[in-house]
Amino acid sequence: MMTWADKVVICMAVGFVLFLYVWLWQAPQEGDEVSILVNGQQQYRIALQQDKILDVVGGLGISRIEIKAGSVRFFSSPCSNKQCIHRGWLDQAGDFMACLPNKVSLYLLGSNNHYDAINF
Amino acid sequence: MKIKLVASKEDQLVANLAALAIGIHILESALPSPLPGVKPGFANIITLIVFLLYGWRMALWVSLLRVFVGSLVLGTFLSPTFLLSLSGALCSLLVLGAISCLSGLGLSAIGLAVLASMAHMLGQFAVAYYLFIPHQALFNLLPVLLSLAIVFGWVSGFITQQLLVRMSGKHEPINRPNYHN
Repeated sequence: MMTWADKVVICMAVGFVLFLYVWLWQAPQEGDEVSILVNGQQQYRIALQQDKILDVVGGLGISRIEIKAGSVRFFSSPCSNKQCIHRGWLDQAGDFMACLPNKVSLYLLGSNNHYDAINF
Repeated sequence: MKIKLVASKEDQLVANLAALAIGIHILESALPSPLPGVKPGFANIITLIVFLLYGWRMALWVSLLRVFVGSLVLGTFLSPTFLLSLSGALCSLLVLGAISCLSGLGLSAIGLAVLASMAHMLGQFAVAYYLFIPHQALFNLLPVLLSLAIVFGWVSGFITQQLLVRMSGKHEPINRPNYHN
């Protein structure tokens, strides 16, 4: 025994939940731009469309950053453990990586970032 | 000095119904759950029956007694579990209160149960997000939790309806009371 009001309410509830599935489960988005920070200050903001090799001067020396086919990586770094290089290529909006010894960090920007912030 | 407390008929009714709800609440807590925060919530069948037969104020009493006494018995009083349970109960009662102010909106027990169950889940989720796990990833869980809320709400509503049909004429109405504040 369901009244018409029940049916309306249940249809609205199901519609709302379906909308949430679409809204909250959308595929992660590829990054459009990379923001490169030295010592927490933004130094460069570059589109990922064109391939480029960039030398960024950090606390220890030069971090060489490579942009290729919409993704970005640390190509070489003056740090000792090279963790930044081992992170490999990043291409998703909201992705973040850093070379802490050299104080160079970068994150990818998109029109719709997947994360607001990441803390390490 | 001696203080004498007299339990009115209404007090006794609240106590009896709350005891029933607490029993279901405790039995249900023994069921294994695939996801934290997910359980059928059949104790709220009692809340809904009280709401439909005796009005919102009595439902509030029964529901809050269930949350407080249930948590004391299970040893979760003032723990995260308790806060989630309390926020859920308060949210669903707010929704039921709003509906009763709008004189029922023509909803049967099934519609009421689905709305109350979703409000319960959203209230719990808000507390879980703001107080315990303020992480974006939690939102990936929300659609699944709300889908389950609709299903369990529907089942609870159906059971409530069947129980009310079988009870018809046998309960003791205190004043008058469908959707009475």
